[in-house]
Amino acid sequence: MSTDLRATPFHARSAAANACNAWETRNGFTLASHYGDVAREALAARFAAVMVDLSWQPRVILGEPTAPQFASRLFTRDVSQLAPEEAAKALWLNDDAGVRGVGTVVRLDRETFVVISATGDLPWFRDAAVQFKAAASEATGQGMLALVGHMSDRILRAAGLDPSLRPMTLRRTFWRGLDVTLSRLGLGYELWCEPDDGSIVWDRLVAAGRSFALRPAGQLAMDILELENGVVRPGRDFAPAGEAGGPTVQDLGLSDLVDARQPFNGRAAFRRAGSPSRLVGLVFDTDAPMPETPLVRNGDKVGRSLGALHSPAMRQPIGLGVLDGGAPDSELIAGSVPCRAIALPILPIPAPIPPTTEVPPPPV
Amino acid sequence: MSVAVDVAVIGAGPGSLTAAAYLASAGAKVVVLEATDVAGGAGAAPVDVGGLSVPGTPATLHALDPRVVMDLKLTRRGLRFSVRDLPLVALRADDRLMIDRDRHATANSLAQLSHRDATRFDEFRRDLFAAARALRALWWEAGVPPDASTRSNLRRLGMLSAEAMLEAAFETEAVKAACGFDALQAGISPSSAGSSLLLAWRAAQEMCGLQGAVAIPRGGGPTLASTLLQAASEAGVELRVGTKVASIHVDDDRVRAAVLATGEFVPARVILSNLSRRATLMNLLPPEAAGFAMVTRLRDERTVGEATILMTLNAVPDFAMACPLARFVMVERLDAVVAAHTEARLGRIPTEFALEAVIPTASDPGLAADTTLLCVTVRPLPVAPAGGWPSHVAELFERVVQRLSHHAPRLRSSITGLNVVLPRADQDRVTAAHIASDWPARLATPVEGLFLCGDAAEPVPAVSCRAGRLAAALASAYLKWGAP
Repeated sequence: MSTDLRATPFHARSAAANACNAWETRNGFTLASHYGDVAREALAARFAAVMVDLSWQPRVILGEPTAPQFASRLFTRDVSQLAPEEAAKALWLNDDAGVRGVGTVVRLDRETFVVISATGDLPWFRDAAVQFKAAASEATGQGMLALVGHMSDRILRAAGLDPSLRPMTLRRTFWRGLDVTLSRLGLGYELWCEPDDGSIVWDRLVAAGRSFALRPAGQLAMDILELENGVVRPGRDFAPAGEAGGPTVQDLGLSDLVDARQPFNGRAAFRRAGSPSRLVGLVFDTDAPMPETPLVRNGDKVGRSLGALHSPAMRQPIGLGVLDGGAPDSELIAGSVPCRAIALPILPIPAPIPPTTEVPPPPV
Repeated sequence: MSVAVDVAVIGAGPGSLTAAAYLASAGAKVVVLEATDVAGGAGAAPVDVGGLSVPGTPATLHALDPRVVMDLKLTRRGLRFSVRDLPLVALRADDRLMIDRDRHATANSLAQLSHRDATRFDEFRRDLFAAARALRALWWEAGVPPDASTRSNLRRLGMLSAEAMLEAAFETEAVKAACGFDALQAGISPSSAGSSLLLAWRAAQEMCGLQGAVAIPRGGGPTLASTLLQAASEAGVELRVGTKVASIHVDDDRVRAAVLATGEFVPARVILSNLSRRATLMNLLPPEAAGFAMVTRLRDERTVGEATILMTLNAVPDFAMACPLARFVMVERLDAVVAAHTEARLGRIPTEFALEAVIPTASDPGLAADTTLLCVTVRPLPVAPAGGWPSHVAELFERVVQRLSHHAPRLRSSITGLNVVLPRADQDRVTAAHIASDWPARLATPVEGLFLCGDAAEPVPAVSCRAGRLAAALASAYLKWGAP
């Protein structure tokens, strides 16, 4: 594996904006941690919009005519039922039903899927693909810029893009001389572009977003936004499983992402793994505890915590946790820290404001 | 679609016939589906050697499960042994050692080379046999969980190579080489970690009431097959030869039917497979049923195996004149065999391999009338040498004959026929972790209702029938109570 640091297609523009020179590495890519103030960047998504470089996220292409059959066995939901340009969130498990990854599976066309996740897992996909005479290859490197915030619709419209997309869909489009793809797979919109077009896409969005207080945000702000919205990310919130063992679907409270009616790798072990637990948000009174801290109610262990961060919007630490049973909205102790379990999302991003609000004609 | 059965057994080898006989005796409806026209496994069909039809291999048995012999009344059905315990005679360029069950005879023989080794050998064998007996709990004793000291012993052996074990025990190369031959099984190098388990496994066996013995069945390999067939058919097992299973139908993570090459469905609640784990899980199941990680692991093919050369002679070889009833092991140095293993793994016929020669006709002249049958096991050899086996067979014959001629100068002129049973390509790769695994783990598969019952389910591939007996126990429990 190469240890060279790679630059994303937006690196030149990101470097110019990153006055405080705060960088971090994800998946081998050099990325801005923040552009001066993490809290302001996280809050900006609630009051205006931010753009975040997601080009580092590993993307794996599944191809060949047998790819639909392969994909339906690989993931915990039957993604072969997706129409082209539709997407679904799904898990992939090892033979023991350990969760190897969580990601978004997008059907590009009849025979091609792309898997987007925080952990690539290409060797696993490649080895499994052989059994189905399918192919798995890496597609990371293409530019992917997320536009998050309730002004995002207006910014896209101002930039000349049509934002009318249903969640978990994408549309390939020709944007003033550029081939781009606009999608709604995460917290907002994502704009996919060719590596060479990264600077142009960035500049166009900055220009269109100037009057909507658009600003770039770093990876730390994106982490906060994801946690506030209840997005579980392997590597941050839990250690993904390897060849065997590892955290099960039930351990992570991700049963909603599983359709046990259809066969998938690890289904037998998943069925044996016991009753489902529930993924909840945690709001801590003081400092956030370490991940995997037991959650205690009336002296009984009722779950455990996952990742946690400080939320600028709530002005207190928040995190994710898994409850073995019982309802949220209850008082718990995480280690020695009092906390409250609440239903997800903890604090959703306000819905985008439509670009134009048509006033209905008065009744006659 | 055929009539539904309780158990469908794929393959009619010794393991599967054993399992079928046990299950049918317990009242289950069992059908055995054999792809070839001969039931009983590889040893059941006779082999042509110089125009003479001789029994198939193996000529000796060292791992046959005594409980199977007793439960299926194989002795009453005709399984007899012409020799119960063959001594080992180690032949080297300059010396000849005999390792016998008689500790005094062995000590006297070893004392020619080293008094220390002569004294040490009995202690070594005693310790190995004791450790091996304790490990039976792990390998096949149902309901007897291995205790803490056995587990610790297992961990020690799991990290120890056979070479290191023998190096630590003995000072003379002759003794190390003689004892090392039994560690050259299953395609594992004697220098690899955990290969000492092969010696322990071998020592754990009991043949004809004697621990670690090697016996010659009267009538050769086919006798075992015919007695098992008799037991199975008397128990009510339906045997279908010339019936190839193309796939296993799985629904809702459990087996439903064996699908024949003709397209016919044989619905069954349990399926037992005598095939390798690789063939069963990769070729018969749908791709996702076995689990992605499991199938990826199974893609590693076994690269090193052994061949058996069968020779008919018009005279007893010189090395066997004084004592024809023995295993004649020819290994010059143990470290040379380690190097040979590396060559074999790379697909080359090794410069120096190890041989074991046995003369079954010495105790059972009826096997080949008026002639001497010599069975020579050659280890280690590549399973698939570069260019394929047909281009290497003549070279192998020549080098084996050359090697034997060192100890039997007139052998070449006395050969009347030759044939070879080449290394099997259909066996799983065996690892130390596999040998150290508990027996239920070796028999089970990721699919509910599917169990292995052949070589693949044994810690070390051998004619044992033990996996068949244990698979029958698992299948019975599954039929009665479902999945645990």
